[in-house]
Amino acid sequence: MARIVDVSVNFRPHTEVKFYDYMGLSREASRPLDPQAYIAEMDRLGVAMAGLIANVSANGIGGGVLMTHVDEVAPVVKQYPDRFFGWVGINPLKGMETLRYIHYGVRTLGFKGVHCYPHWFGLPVNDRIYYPIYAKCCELGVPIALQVGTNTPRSGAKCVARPILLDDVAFHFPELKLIGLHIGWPWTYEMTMLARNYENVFIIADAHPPREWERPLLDYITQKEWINKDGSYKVMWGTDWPVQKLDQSLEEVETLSFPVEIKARLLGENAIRIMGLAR
Amino acid sequence: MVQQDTYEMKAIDFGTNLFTEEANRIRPKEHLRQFYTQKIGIEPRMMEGISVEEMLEKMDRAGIEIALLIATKAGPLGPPYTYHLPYKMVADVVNKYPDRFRGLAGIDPTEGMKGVRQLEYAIKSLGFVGAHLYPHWFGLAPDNAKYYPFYAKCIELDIPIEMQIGHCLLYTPDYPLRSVGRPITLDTVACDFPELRLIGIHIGYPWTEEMISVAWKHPNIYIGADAYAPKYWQECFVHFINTWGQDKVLFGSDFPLIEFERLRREVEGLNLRPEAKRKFLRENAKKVFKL
Repeated sequence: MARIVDVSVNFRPHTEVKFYDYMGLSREASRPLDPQAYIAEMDRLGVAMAGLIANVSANGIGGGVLMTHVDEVAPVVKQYPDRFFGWVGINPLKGMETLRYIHYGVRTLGFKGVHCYPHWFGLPVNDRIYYPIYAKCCELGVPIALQVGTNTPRSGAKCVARPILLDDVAFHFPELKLIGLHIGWPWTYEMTMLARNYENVFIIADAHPPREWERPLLDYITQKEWINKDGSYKVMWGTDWPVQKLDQSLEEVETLSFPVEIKARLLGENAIRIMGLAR
Repeated sequence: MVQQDTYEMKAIDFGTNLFTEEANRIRPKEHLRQFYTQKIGIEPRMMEGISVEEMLEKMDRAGIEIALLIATKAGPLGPPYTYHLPYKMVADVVNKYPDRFRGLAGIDPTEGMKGVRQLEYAIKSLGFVGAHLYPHWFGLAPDNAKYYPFYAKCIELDIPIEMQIGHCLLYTPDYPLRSVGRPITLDTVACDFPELRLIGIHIGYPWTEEMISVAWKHPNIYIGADAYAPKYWQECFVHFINTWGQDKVLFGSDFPLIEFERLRREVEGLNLRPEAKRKFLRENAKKVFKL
């Protein structure tokens, strides 16, 4: 059985955001990740690894920054290096401080990638403020994942990131591994178009239930389109826990009836290769 | 040799071009000839190049102790009018006369990460002391995203960046360069990078007052007074150097645009206060470039 990797797990859900009211979610129930419980769940479902995001958002644009510091996540990654790897979540507005933070997370703590939720910070992903961040990722040789689908509903933020805006970035930083989070939904086709056009653009299919994955994504993964030669190697499955749950998400992937090799790439092999995880 | 002692106060020139025969073989000389000899009015024989030693004699006569030599990157390589002076060519001259020269690494934003790594190499391995940028040659204003990785790298390396601000005088219909560097564009850069030491060179001409305004607003913005002869400097600018902006302006030539001796003579003619003059001629450059 190929190894399964849940590539995106929010370490500490930021329940301050109004999204919780809108969805009727319990703030009490949304606790920080319990590593042992999550590992038990991973074991039950045959999941080898999970990527823990030191997730950063804000309480609406201009609102207080809700930060999970890499130092909160690092002990867990250190304790279970075979089961977890780290994402350095960032606030892109902090200039050189952000660059030093990324350097610390990657070089000192050994985190595997950089992670950003642009909508909370109000500036599109091809804005000048991101360019030093992209350059730093190139220097450190780590991918960056950006939420380029819609913003979180009722979150006090506005939608500033569309997949197409990554075109600028992918073109200007050909050595940067750029990952679009949340499938780029509702611009799924735009997202797969970019991943098709650029060697260095990838997709994380998370935060949306696989039962609702749209035709452009499914056809991209299965390489059904005439000009699509490597789509099965470019999409990584994840939960964006707690947004999706491991068991249900995996069950739904099963119902999509992917060919065995393609499913193996989607569920783990691609993450291992793209994120540089130990085999 | 007598002339070496003409000026007691020794100056530091923040921006000088290597104009040797070797360097001018790399420059698109025919293309630039009209610009240099007619628009600027330098002696035609200079186009054939002058030796480093002759340049040093000129510097001696003008009381210039140290000149920062620019390893120019004028536009992206490819078109017949663009050129890059190799860092090594400048480094060789600096190494030969380490008391007289320091190196400045030219920047080409179209080179992306390769250029960022070259800049790091120039500072860490070649001992260069700053970065240099001609925004007009790339058609990108100083606040364009493509420069931002370079700015961040300058901060990491603890070096300043000097860039041409103001209009672009150079023009040919075959390869037109737009004027993209208004002083106010530095306002954006300084807001984004409060740690970056920025020098707007060529006085921001013709937007001198706009240049003064951003230099006064931001602790990290300085003005490079070069490429225009002091006798034509606006009164407000001379006043700025002499009084409220005495910590903000650096002395430079952009040689061969302005000959060293003429430059020094005309600076002396401004009758600056001794303290302001000392800062202008050398102390500000020492501080900004950490010489």
